[in-house]
Amino acid sequence: MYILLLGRTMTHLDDGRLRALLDEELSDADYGAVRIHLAECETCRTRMTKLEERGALVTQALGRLITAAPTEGARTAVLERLGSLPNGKRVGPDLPVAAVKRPRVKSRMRVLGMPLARAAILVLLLGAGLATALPASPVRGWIAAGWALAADLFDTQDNAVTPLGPPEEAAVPISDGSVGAQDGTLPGVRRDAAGEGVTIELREISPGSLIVVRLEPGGEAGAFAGLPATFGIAEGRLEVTGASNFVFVNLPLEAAAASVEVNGGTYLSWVGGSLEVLGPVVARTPEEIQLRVP
Amino acid sequence: MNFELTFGEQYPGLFRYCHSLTGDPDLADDLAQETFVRLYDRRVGGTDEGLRAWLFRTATHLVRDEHRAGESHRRLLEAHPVRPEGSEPPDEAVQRRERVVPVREALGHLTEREREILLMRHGGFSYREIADAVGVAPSSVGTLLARAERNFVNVYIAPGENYDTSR
Repeated sequence: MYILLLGRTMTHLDDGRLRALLDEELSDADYGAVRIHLAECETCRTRMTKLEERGALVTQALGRLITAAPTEGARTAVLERLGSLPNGKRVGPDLPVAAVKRPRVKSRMRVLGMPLARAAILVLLLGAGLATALPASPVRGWIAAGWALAADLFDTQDNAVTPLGPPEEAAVPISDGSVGAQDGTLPGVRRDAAGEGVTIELREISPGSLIVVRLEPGGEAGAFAGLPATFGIAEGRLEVTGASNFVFVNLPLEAAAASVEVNGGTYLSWVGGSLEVLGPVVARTPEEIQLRVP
Repeated sequence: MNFELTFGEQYPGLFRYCHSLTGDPDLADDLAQETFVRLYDRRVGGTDEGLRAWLFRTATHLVRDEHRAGESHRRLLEAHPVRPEGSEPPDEAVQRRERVVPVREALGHLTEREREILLMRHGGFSYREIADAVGVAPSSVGTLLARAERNFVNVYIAPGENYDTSR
């Protein structure tokens, strides 16, 4: 706040201070000084009048923007997403997941609520020391430890899931990059229940881990994480931090390229419809592939 | 924190803010809902004023994410009515659209921060709330607001209205 009264020299009030006066946002001390100045300064009084007129015009114009009311189902939608509808679903504050839905944005990341039935295609078991181990263990270290493979993603016997699409559409080749891989096939790895992509489950995530999902145009990727996870979304990039237990990542089949990184290292990449799994395989079952990082 | 009370008090304003910023009522609903989900997901607490500031700050960030993706910005400038207006006659809908377009075009010429400050202030927010939500000093809000209004009026031409933008 500057009002300089030096002899007969006076510094005019700036627009910000005049605006604050009109908005009744000046402090008591400033208010008095500004009022004194205005009483003596015709120039500032005129400017304040113009500011007031301009503000009224803006208010009138902005009032035209609201063309719709919130949907009546907004409250229900929020409750559903929080998993706390009283109609038999779980109620209470300790909700198990952070779910963010962006259904209208195409060809970029979205975070979505994903039923557990759709989960678990690949399981990455991340050791407790991962956060500190990874910076010294670049991707090539994992590769040296043994490139793993995934496999015939859609050869599932699980009848509980949504019926699969035509075989020719479902057959997604997976390259393992390893020596001695069994033709890139491993029975039992399956696509998610909705048949829209591949779901990766990351468990035993070390505190402070950063999971980054990158996606080139094509479809929508998603993540589903336990509390107190936070999500960051940018064009072609989704970040999950602070997950305390698990993160599910869903990659779309139609993506040109996608990858899943943990603390700067790439665990999985999806290029041209092929899934490449990096990291030592510690277990293979008909239901999943498990990777463990030292 | 009482969900029903908080939702009833804050959701309409949050929706209007998102609607004004995005120009898309459906997207505004998505973003306002997302903000509320995060509120409960992250167990945000505090005073009513702090809660309101958190809600609008979070919504602001979500809208910014959308703008950066380019999709919302395109929507903002197009100003298309996404939602059916029920019994509104078609000619009235056209007139309403015509009134909205120049407003959105003028907003489209503002910076992201100018838009947010302008809409929040004209949505009834205090300077402190605006400062908290947008991430500026409270003492600078008046200056930023005055500048945003000037830049808005310099572009905005209201149908049937005359205003000397040199003022």
